[in-house]
Parts: sequence; C-alpha cells; structure tokens
Amino acid sequence: MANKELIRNFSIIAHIDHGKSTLADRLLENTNTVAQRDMEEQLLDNMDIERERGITIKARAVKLLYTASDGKEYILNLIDTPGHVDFNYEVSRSLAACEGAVLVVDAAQGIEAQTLANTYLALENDLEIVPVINKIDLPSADPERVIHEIEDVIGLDAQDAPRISAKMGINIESVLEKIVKDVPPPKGDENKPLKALIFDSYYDLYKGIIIYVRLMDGVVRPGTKIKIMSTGAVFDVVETGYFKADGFAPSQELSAGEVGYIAASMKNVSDTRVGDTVTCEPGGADEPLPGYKAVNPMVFSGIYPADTTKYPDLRDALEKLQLNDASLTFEAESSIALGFGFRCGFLGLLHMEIIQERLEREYNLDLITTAPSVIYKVEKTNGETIFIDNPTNYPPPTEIEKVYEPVVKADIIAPSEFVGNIMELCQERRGTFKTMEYIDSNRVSLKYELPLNEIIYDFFDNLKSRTRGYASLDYEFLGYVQSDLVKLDILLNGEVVDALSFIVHTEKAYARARRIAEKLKDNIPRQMFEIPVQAAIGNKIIARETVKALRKDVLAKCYGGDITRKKKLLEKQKEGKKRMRRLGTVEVPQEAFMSVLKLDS
Amino acid sequence: MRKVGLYIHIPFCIKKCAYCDFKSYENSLEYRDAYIEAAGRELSGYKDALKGAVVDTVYIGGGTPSALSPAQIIRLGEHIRANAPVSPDAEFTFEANPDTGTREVFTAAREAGANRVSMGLQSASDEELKTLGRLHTVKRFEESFRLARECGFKNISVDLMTGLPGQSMESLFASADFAVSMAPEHISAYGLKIEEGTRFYEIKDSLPLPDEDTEADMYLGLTEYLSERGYRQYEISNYAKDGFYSRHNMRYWLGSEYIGIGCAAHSFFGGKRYFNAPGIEGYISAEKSGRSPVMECESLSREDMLTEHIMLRLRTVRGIRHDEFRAAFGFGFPERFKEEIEKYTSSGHMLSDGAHTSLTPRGFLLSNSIIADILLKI
Repeated sequence: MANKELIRNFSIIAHIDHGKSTLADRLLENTNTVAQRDMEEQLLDNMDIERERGITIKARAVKLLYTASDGKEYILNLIDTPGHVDFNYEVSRSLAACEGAVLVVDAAQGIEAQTLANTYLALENDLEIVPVINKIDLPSADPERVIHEIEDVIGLDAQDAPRISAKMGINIESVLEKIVKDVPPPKGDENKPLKALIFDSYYDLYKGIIIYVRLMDGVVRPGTKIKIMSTGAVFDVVETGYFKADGFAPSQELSAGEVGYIAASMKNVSDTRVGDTVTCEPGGADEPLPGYKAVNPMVFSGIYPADTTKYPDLRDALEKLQLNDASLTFEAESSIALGFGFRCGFLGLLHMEIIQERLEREYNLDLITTAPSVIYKVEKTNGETIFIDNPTNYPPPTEIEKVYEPVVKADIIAPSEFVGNIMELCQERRGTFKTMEYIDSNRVSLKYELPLNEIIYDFFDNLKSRTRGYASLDYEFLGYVQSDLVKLDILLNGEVVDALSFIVHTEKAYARARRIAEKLKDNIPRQMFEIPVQAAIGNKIIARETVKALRKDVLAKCYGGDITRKKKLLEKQKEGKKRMRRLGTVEVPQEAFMSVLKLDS
Repeated sequence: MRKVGLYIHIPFCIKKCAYCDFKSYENSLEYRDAYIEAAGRELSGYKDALKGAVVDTVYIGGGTPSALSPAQIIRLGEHIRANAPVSPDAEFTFEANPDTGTREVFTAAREAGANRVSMGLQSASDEELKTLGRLHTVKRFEESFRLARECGFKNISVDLMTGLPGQSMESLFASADFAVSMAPEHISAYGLKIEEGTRFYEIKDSLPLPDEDTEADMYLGLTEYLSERGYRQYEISNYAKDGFYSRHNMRYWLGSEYIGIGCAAHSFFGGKRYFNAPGIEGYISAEKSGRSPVMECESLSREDMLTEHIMLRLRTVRGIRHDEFRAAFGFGFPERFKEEIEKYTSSGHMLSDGAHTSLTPRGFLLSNSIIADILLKI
C-alpha cells in the first residue's frame, strides 16, 4: 500500500497554446517516465486531432515517480484535462480527482477566458493552485506583468511562481519541487468502504470499458465486487492498475488517495459515466461523491453517410465512439433528402467537430452533416410543451403559443482595442451586454448573455477574426428565454429539402435566407434544366436564386478509336452522379449541403 | 464477309501544338525509317488473321503523317498492300498538316493508296493559329488544299476548332466561311479541351477562353450554319456533304472491327479492345525483337458491350436503332430507359420515335451527362 504522504494528485490548467502539453511532456521526461528516445511531441495528446489542433479532448492520466530535493521518492499523478468550454463538466470531474492544479500562463499573453474559468473551477473544488509562468524565452515575455495579472484577477500569490520555458526545458525541476511542496497529499481512509470517482473511461476490445478512477476511500483489487452508485449495476473487478505514459501497468490493488484504472468487463456506457461513484458491494458507501450529474447535449446535428449504403458502418462507428465518450448521444432519424442517418447530440460545437472528424478519419466515413441546432422549447396552443432538437419537427406557426431558446452567459477576454469589434459582433448576435471589467491596463473582460443558437453558428471564428485571434471565449448555460423564432425552409425546384431547414430569429431570417440561397446557387452544379432555389417561412418565399440550366459538357475528342479512355471518363461521370443526392429531379452534391454550414466563408 | 478497318499511327510532329495531348513527339524524325519498318512488321503479324476478310477503310493518322518523307509514305503503302487485303473501293484517308502538305507528299500519298485527305485548318485567323502553336498560316492552308486537289484527292476533310482562346462568334464564323469557301467534302469541328500535360494546361488560368454559354452558342450556331450549307451533322463533331461521311470514323461508333498499327494505336479486333504502348523507341525495339507492343487488353463483357453500344451510338445522329438494340441485348431500349427518354425528349435534348433514339444538337452538348444518366440504370 502506497504511503499517502508521498502522493501528489494534480492537473494542469492552461489556455490553448499556452504550453500545457509541452509542459506535460517535460515532466514526463524529467522524471524519466518516458525515455528520451521514445519521446514524441505531446505524448498525452495521442489522438491525431488533438496534436493537430493543439488541444486536449479526453482526460488522461499518468503516474510519475520523482525523487525530490528532500531525498524522498514521490508519486505524482498527472491528470490531464480537456481544455475547452464544451468539456466543462469533464474538467470539473478531473479536477475533483486532484488536490492541486498547475496553472500555466503564457508570459507574453497573460490570462485568458478559458484559464480563468478553469481556475475558478479548481478553486471551487478546493484545489491548491500552483501558478507557473511559461514561455519566458519569448522576446515579448513579460513575466512581471503576468504575475500581477494573476494576483489582481485571481487573487493568488504568484511572486515565487516558477518562470519556465517548457519548450526549451528551462526550470522544469522547480515546477516538480513546487508540486511536491505546495500540493497537499490526498486524504482518505483505506479502512472505510470503497469510494472512487470516475473521471474518464476507455474502451478496450478485450477488457470492455476501463474506468479511470481516483480512490477517495477504501481499497479495490481484482475480485472485488463493485457497484456503480447511480445505476446500481454490480461488476467483478478483473484488473486494477496504474497509468504509464504508454499504457497500463496492472497492480495488486488501488487504495485511498491513489489514481488508477479498474477493468471489470463493463459493456454499458451508462455504467461508466464521468462523475459517478464506484463503491463495493455489499457494505458499500451510503452516499455517493458530490457533483455527479448526467451531462446533457446542447448542440444537435443530423449526421448522414454520403454513400447511403454506409448507414450500418456509421451506426457501428457511433457506437464505438460512444464507448469512449458517453456525452455523445445519437438516435436514428431519416430525411427525405439524405436518407437514413442519426440525430446526434454534442456538448458543444467543438465536440461536434471532433466527432465528425473522428468518424471521417478513424472510421473512414464520408459524411453529410446538417446545420447545428440547439433545443428549443415550444409551448403549443393546445397547452402542450415540447422540446425540439430537429428543425424538421418544428410545429407550424399556427400551433405555436410561445417559443423559448437557450441562452448562455459568455465571458470574452481580449485586448481593449478590440472592445468595439466584440460589442458589434455580440450586438449582431442578439447579445445582451452585462458588464465590462479591465483585467489589467490593456485587457478587458466582457460579459454578455447570448442566445446559444447564435454561438453555435460560426461565432467563434468570427470572434477570432475580428480580434486578430486575441480574444478568448468561455460560456455556460444560463436558461431558456422567450424569443421570436421562425422556421426557414429551403426549396429546390419547388420542393422543401428537409435537411436544410433551420430555426432562426425573425430579424435575421431575411439576411440568412438570402445568403443560403446564394450559397446553394453557387454550389449546386448546373443541370439540364433551370433550378429555382427558394427560401420560405411557411408559404411565404423570402429569397430566390436560380441555378441556370447547363448547356454544355466538356466533350473530349474521341480519337483514333480510343474508346477505352472515353469509357473511363464516363465511368468517372457516373461515379460523380452516384455521389449526388437526388431530390426529385435535382441532383445535389455533398458540398452544397456543407456550404450552407459556413455562410461567412 | 468480315470487314475490318486499319488505322496506322504516325507519331511524329515538327512541333507539338499547344493543346495537343495525343501521342506525338517533336524531335524524333530520325526514327521515321525504323518506325515504318516496325509498323510493317506489326502489320505482317495480322496477315493470317485477315485471311478471308476485307479491309474497307484505312486511316493514316497522327501525329503528322505528312511529316514523313515521300519515300517513307510510299514504303508504308507497300507494307499495307503486302499485308492487308484492302478493297478497291476502300476509303483511304491520309492526314496532312498544311505546312508539310506539299505536292510531293500528296503525290506519294496517292501512290500509297490514299483517296481522302484530312487537313487541320483549325482556324482561319492567323492570330488564333499562332496561339494554338500551329506552324501554318491561312494562306499556306489554301495552297496546300489546292495541291491536294491537284494531286487527285476528291474527298477532303477540314478540321475546325471552337472554344479557342480569344475566339469570338465573329472569328469562328469567319473561319467557317473560309472553310466552306474551300468546298471540302467533310468538316470536323472540335471543341477545345484543356488537357493535362499540354502547354495550354500550364497557362490555363491566363487563357482568355470563351465562357460556357458562348461555347454552347458556338457549337449550336456552327451546326446550323454548316447544315444550311449542305454539311449535315452525322456525329457530335462531324459534318459531311451527302455520301461523304467518314466511313472509318463511323466504325468506331458502330462497334465494327479495326486494327491499330503503331505506338499508342488502339484496336478492336476479335472481341477485344487493346492498345500499344505509347513510346516510339519502345515500339521499334519491341517489333525488332518480336515482342508484342500491346500494353493493355480487355475482353468485352456483355455489360461492356451494352455500355459501349449506348455510349457510342448516342454520339451519332443515326442514334440507337431499337431493333438492332433488341437483337443484340434481348430487351427493348425504349422500355428499359423509359424515364430517361421521357425526361430528355421533353427537355429537347433527345429525339425518340418507335424505331430509334438519338440526341439533338443540344443533347450532344450534354451527351456526357445524358449518357452517364442512362448508364446509371444498367
């Protein structure tokens, strides 16, 4: 049994690009957890998407052994947290598994909205914060200013914060010393009934779902009967162990204060939800750990295979992804335009993009996705209240008494020179201004209430482009607010294309309708006949464009009897046609569906 | 009696045109003699297979056949006579460029057996010719055409091009006026297509090409113009005075047999489609050492034959004869493709009566799309 006094459980909080993953790499190196020769850039972010985007999507953990200046060998459990607003809840659970958090701040850029939000989360969980100033090697680094910022904004003493360069490997040792010195050892009693917090899970083909846990009390070992407290499901533990940088290291047991994994042939994602409590059976704990909640998806989108025959493949892929990501929801739906597919629920836009990208890359699927939607609350004239996550199901205007849409509390931090641009953007997006505070002499924090459906629609890209990339955004769900919304339908050749319908605020309907009609006109290839592209609210047409009739193909000379080449060209043309969706007599390529998702590009 | 066509590819060019992606080579003239002998050897390999058959069309194409010397042309004619049973009334075409189409060349072509000349005019604007990288001028064309007539060619075809960089409706019809004034028996008009690997492809974004609508107008306008002057359209790009359609080219569309001799030449013979490797030197050395120059060969399945029947015949004004179709495939064309026929006849792209189905000029412009649509049903 490990000596709790020598355990430190911590995570790293940082804004995107402030160097979290690089610092994690250095910690692994400096503690010889990974041999230098095996060192891959950003080891913990082992999904391709994570490395490319420089973000952490899934929580991950690794056990480091560090001999400190006091001569003792410490066990440092690093729990890597996702760094994005979509995964707020996951972050809070990862933090709940720790006693401390290393707060990494870029010496040139200072605190960002994301950092702030996650730091507050850490403070709420009573974590000891260890500030670290990174990137001191940059010419524009101003550690003193950033230290003041940390003190002013967060109220932490940051005078003796290690000043490091994770990239250059400067002062990494001091971070390790600080963790050992400042982060308290875990409490907990191994003699009490088992109480373990699930902070992540991983699906293994042979072992089933493996849960990542932090033991608060008790002991667990192979053979222990465990119970998942929210579902009551009971399992026999097959294996327990610790995290190595490159996989799992089985152990005889895990005890209070430790971080590790449990494999118990679990197959059902509802039994392995992040935040749930694992106890023993019989004689388990009476109360689960606080803070568990079932996270609900906020953003929905239809996902369809571009090739309709790939529907079963898509279902398999979604099922597999869900095993590693319980926050993903999906149910079968069908569209006249797109055939059979799934309505998927995501925590946010990034989550949606990530799932789409993983389906395409890891499962080699070609997808058509519909415009993202939020959940609207509709009170009908007959007194019924319904929730709508698919615009197709929006009731006709005559049946609607009142509509409500979800609103979020948004915090935007940016240099003060961009305040005008940000306010303009928030205004355009129907935002309500709340407060503006100066974080330091030239950076401000703006608080707005914004409808979620405005945020999921390229808000972040816009924010970035209007602030030259300097603004950061964080938001949380606030509640439902009554609103004036309409359903906009798109008609091709006089027929409604269900997959292109969406819900929009009345004031925006005309502008949006015009843009979509234009985009479709540009993205639907000319066909044998003229195709009217119309946007309508109910029976009223509010925008119209026309795809002119095609008059000419490229006709290659068929020379010297080279029939083979001509046949190959026709084959290609046939394949191209197969990839089109046939809506009545109109053939619509995948790109046309996708183009309306990015109206501003 | 089995009727077979013969195509002989002459891959030499004095200079390659800016738009050309056919297998033709500059700076290779020194291989001409060896090439003619290699072609003779390849041809002799068919001697047995052609026993009892008759070759009723011959086409010497390129590249530039007129880039051969008169002696080489005569030598090629000897190879043909020695190995292929060419019928006395065969259509025998010799392709010539105006810059190399001299009296000596035409005289030699006649001696080799040719009775038809196909000449590339492309445009009657010297400026457009220069853009295309052609070596001749309009004046030179006139001279060469006259020489061909003087040498006894009573059947001459002239090539025109539409959709050229900088071409306008006016300049196109000026070219058409000029071509018609020369009174050829046959006119081909090809739309320019920018192919990868050509000089035009490298500069495609800076070429002032007419837009899609103008190109379509050029095609439809030219078809009407030529028909008013006695040149009836019989295939997407081909027009002829009565009785002068190209019998050799029609073989391609009607699925009748032909043997291709020379590098990169295509054959359809004995139920197989095959073609030779493209390089000149490789071809010569293969023939010298007795290796086959064939690079790829496919036997046609029933589905291939069906695809080809539809795709090739719909290139012609003659179209698909319903009785022939049923005899070949055992089911009815109008019944099977009812939906497509209705769609395209009502949109004016197709004509269909009880006996045949064909595309209109507007349909020819969209033949790729229409044929692909029909083939999707197979």
